[in-house]
Amino acid sequence: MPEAVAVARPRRWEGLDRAVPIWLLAAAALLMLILLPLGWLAYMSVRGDTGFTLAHYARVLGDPTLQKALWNTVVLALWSGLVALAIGAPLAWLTARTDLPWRRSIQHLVMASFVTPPFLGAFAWVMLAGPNAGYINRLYRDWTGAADPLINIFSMPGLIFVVAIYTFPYVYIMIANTLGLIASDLEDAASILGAGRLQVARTITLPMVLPAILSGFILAVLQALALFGSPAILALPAGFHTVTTQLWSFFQYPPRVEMAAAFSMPLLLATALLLLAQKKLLGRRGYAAVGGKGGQRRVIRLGGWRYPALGACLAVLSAAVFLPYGILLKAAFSRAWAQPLTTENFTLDNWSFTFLSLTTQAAIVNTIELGVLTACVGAALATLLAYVTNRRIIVGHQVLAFLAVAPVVIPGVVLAVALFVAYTRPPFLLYGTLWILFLAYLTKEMPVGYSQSDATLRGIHPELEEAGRILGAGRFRVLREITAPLARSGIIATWCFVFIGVIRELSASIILFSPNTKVISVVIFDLKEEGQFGAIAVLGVFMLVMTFVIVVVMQTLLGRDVMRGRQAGGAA
Amino acid sequence: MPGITITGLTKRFGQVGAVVGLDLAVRPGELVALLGPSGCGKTTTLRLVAGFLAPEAGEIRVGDRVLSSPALVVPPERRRMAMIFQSYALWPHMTVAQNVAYGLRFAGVGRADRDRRVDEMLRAVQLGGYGARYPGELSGGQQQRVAVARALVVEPEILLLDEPLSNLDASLREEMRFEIRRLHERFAITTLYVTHDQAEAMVISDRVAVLRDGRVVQIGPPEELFEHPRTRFVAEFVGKTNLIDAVADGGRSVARGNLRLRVAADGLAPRARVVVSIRPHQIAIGPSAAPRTDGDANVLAGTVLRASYLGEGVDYQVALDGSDVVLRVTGPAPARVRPGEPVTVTVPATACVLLPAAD
Repeated sequence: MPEAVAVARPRRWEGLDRAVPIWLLAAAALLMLILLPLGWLAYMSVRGDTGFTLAHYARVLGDPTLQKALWNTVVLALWSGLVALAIGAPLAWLTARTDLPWRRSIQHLVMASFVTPPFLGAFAWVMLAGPNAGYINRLYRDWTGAADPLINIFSMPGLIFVVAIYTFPYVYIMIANTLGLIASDLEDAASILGAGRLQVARTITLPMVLPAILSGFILAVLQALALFGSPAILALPAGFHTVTTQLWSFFQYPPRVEMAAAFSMPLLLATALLLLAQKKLLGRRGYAAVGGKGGQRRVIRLGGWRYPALGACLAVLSAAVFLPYGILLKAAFSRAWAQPLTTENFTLDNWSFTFLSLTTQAAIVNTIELGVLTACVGAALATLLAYVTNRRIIVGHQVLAFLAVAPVVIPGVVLAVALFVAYTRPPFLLYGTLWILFLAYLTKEMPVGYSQSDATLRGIHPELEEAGRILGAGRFRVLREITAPLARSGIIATWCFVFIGVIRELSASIILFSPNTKVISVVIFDLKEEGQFGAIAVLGVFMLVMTFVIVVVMQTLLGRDVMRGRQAGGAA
Repeated sequence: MPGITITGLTKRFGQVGAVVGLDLAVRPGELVALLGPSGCGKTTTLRLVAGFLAPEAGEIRVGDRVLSSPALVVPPERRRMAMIFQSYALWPHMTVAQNVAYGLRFAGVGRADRDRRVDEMLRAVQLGGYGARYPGELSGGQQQRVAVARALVVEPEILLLDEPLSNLDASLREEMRFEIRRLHERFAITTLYVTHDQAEAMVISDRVAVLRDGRVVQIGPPEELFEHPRTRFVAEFVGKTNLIDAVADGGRSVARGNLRLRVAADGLAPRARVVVSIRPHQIAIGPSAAPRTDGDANVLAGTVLRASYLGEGVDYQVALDGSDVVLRVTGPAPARVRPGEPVTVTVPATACVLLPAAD
């Protein structure tokens, strides 16, 4: 039966998706953000006067001083990881599964240690345990009359200790989350079949938590590898280098960029391999069982061990939070930070001195400007990218998802080297402007922002958008009226994460700043050279207050414990 | 009121062909169900019709408008369709009234008119007075009705439903079947309805299209599909049945070993391999004491293996004497014969539907 003879063909524009340019733009921005600097970095590392050369690699790998720096980094990272594991795993078990007193408060304090910029912790520990003026050492000498210090923080063990107390939260979060998901019925199922308590722990609980333990360990090692601040503060006075401080010193006059590029590669490779190992570890078995629904989690009674266990937790938190925060606060309000805080010693001069300094004022303005700008652009870009990858809008969306989290493997210092190379030459002359810092922060925070946005969009069923489309709303309208309102709290969380990450950033800033584009962390680092501990303390407290205000605002706004969702972040 | 014409539709995901050269014509005002097991391509077909997916080959026309072809896909928002989703897809941040009114904003309906129509539609789905609630405050069945109202209020040319009842519990599901049929009879919108539940498809549709491996294997009114399935697959998928592989015996009967069955068909080629489909409820079962020849019926002796009491009936398994065939028979409750007892089963020749041996 011949139906309508004239078939109406739709006109060309009717089939056009007007949103396509936006997706392509977001994808292009990401590609440029990641590939341009890394491409330049790789190129610089093999560029010789006459073409391709491996001379830089030969030099950095053959130089005994640099070999030593590499070895120091390996020692630092492995030991920090082990110590972080030794602290984080028991703490996670205690707060997740036992009747330890003050569990909630301990959780919150672990999170406080998590958001503390490690370099501030390192400063605080210089004040606490410097060999001469350190508070603890002075008390020790006063009490015992000994001539030698109790602890010398300017040493490899001291550095490992300070790094570990700020990386153990990574282990803690991984394990606590996993323990929180294992329902007791899985353990009960073993008990009913005749397994004793220890057998249950060995055969059921431990194997289920093992991937989280290993992957927490790897995360901690990654953090320790990438850290610049703590080694710069503790290792340099002790007379040794790590890879990150060595990279930084390549940029001291005269800069040796090719060397830096070549020396970046081992670090980049190491972090990439570690992250790959972690992915494999988590992805191998079907841990869907861990998400088994509605299971009750039985609380394990500690009995007589309750208070000793609490004591151990408080000792850890003293090292990470109470003592450092205390000494920073004290120093912020003292004329001489090493003296007791008496009425004569109390002063507000540090505050007026710090905030009246033009350099500091400029740095605060720069930091907040960069924080807001990066958080806005970062949250927008991350959300767009997560949308593209979640809804599989363009070809190659898997590549975008990979690239968005790829910067996790780029230590801040290496990223800075790459950006320095990429943006000190035409067509992009950004060195010396705030823009190069902006690009550094945007790249560095992209994994955190993307992961957060990805989780948000996963929670929004695509049918919610399709329902809008089929009723006549275009792609943009659906994004505005349906997706955006539903993703709102997730986007706010992304914004806050990026902002917090930016205001504490040191390792990339220290290479990319110029006299006119200092940020707070760089000013703190400079003040160290001048020995201005009062001013350091003031800025440190200021930075911490800003961070905690954001965290609290975010939690009240969103009404849930968002920090727990964050697993892989960038190091300062 | 236009119909839908689908010709040669093909869509692959990677190497897997989800829809392969599918042809289907939905007449104006008709409700056609796409029925099939999971992975048969029914949801993909629906999403192609909605414009959420682009076809690799073939064409989808509504009336005389081409909406999808490999060259061009009209975006969903310009198709004048409405869709009811498996998850209902109600927007949690909008009230019931706002949800229902959403599509009217793009249909050029004024504000006052909009409110009136939303009101009317909510009453039509028995949700009058619920306009100010949020979807999260409604039960599953009520949410379902909101989804229906939201789709119908825009008076779409085409209505698409993607397993809309699969999230409801059994009694509510049955009630909603009739509700959807009632609304269809009232609004008479050309409708495509995707489901894997054959009972649901039968209650709701004018015609049922059975899909397998991305193609329509048979389409017809529910009675036709049930009584005259054309393939083994359709016979098995639409209702319970006994399938017996046999060989044509010349004339009007088939054989399997010692078992001979008179069938409804004429002129079978001798030695042709066939499959006989017999619905369990078309077989009569009785004590073996009463053997009688019943015109054109097959009267067979057997032994009861199992009798399962199902409330409204009894499900028997009867092993036929001198044969490897075990027939499922549905008889009235209460059970008149017990396991181990000899029985006589009577199968009318008209109940023996012949199907091709190869599927």
